[in-house]
Amino acid sequence: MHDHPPYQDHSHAIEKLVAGGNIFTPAGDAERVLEWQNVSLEFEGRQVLHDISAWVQAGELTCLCGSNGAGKTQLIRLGLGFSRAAVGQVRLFGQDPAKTRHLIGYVPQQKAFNRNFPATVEDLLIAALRGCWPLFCRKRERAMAAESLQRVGGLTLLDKDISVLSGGELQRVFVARALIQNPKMLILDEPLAAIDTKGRAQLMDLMEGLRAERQLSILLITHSEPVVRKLADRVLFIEKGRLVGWGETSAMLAIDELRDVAFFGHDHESVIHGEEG
Amino acid sequence: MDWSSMIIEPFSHPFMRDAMLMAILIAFLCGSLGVLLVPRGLSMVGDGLAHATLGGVGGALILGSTPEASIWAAMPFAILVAWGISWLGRHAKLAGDAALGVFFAVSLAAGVAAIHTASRAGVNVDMEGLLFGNILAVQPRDVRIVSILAVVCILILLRFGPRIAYAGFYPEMAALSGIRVERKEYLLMTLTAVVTVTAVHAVGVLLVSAYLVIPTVTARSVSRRLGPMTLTTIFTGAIGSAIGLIMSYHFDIPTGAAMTLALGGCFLVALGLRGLGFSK
Repeated sequence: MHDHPPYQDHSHAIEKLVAGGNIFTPAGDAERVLEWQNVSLEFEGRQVLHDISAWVQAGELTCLCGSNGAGKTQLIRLGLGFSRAAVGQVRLFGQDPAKTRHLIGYVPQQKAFNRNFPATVEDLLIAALRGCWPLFCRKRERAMAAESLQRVGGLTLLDKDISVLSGGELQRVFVARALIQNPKMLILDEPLAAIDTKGRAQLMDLMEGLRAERQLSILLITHSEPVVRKLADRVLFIEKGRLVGWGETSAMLAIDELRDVAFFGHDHESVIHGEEG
Repeated sequence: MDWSSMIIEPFSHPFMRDAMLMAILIAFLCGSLGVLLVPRGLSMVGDGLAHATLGGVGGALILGSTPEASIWAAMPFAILVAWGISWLGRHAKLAGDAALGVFFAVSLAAGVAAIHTASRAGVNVDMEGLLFGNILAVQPRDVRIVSILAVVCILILLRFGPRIAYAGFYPEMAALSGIRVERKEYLLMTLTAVVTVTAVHAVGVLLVSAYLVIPTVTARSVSRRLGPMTLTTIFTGAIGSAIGLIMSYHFDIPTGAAMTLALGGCFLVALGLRGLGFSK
């Protein structure tokens, strides 16, 4: 646990990080599944990303860390082709993300779906399978939806209306949705938030298993140092829209400034046993 | 007169059979689109486009169209207005109903001005017919035209409806599944414009939204999935229309009003069924 005061001014640490020195570009020529090439992004008149160059290597679990508002979600949205970089370019499986994003299993942080829509969990999962909304479901599709929910410990949710699910139940359902497509890569934006202790352990085991058994590439946004320590092969740190750290997990977590800025204020014990911040 | 002859006797007249056929077609078209529009919060888009049709009618009259042909000539105008609503909502960051409010008011005002100008030039315009429609006056030719339109719309909806629905539920997830969300939105608005103009011809400007909205909310109150909800919406529209036509025949009530009242009655019955637990 930290012994810092509850609200610490990190501006000095951030300045030091921005000054550089913590970028260790991966060696070797492993496939780059997702790559940002000198990207800068403006959002509502404000520059939120500054000249970021980084990539996610095939078969690795990469954690993307940074304090709130650092630009993590914007970086992911660029990677999925939901926004366009003002400068630089993004390649997903070597192509424009809009052409290849169907290969991604994505769990967004905010689930911005239409709550008035007549939809059950089964419909959502089958929609991901078919690529269109199901008017009626086939037996085989229903079995696949059930199997996917089973993997995240949410089988009992299959016939529920999506609009009545709790935050934790929605997380499980959207992880199941990402998995049912048999994706080449998972992008998970704070997937452990709002999930109970048992669910967290289950999801972390699932991510480890997917990486180990299927060599699935995973990009995981998290505020949790224990999650990074347990799961990540490599970590990307961004702060104030700039890449301030990139390297293997053990090397990155040895840098106090990075840990302080990215994880400070998030209860590290509770990340495994309670709420992710 | 017993119940069965009370129901059957009105349809011994050819004009009642044509009216019923037209009502079923309109219920089918409006129901299929209503389930895509209402859950998106676009319940009033049909109403807005129906009023915009007046603008198109006025423009067509000034350009020399006959009053009978002017409603069909209004279709391109209604489609342009529908695209404008979508464009303004997307690019000017206006909520769907705010963009609708702008186009609704401006095109209605343009319609009133144009129709007034046409009237002064000696063109006889049936404003009451435009506003309230007269389904009893539909001709077999109208039924044939609407049948063809219905077949085209239904083929398009069978192909693209599930994708339009997905885009309406969660645009980003639909985009991840490879759906071109913006194109689907324009397609939905185009179909809505075509169906609205078609429905205005039969039931009038003021009753179009009744057909788009009431059967849909009726079905929504008793179904929780899109497939059953679509079938229930179409069934409700057809049954409400039939009951309205029969009521209109026997009690000498204006037909459009009788049909809308019957649809409202269906909604109340569905609410009652839900209250009694006969739903979902």
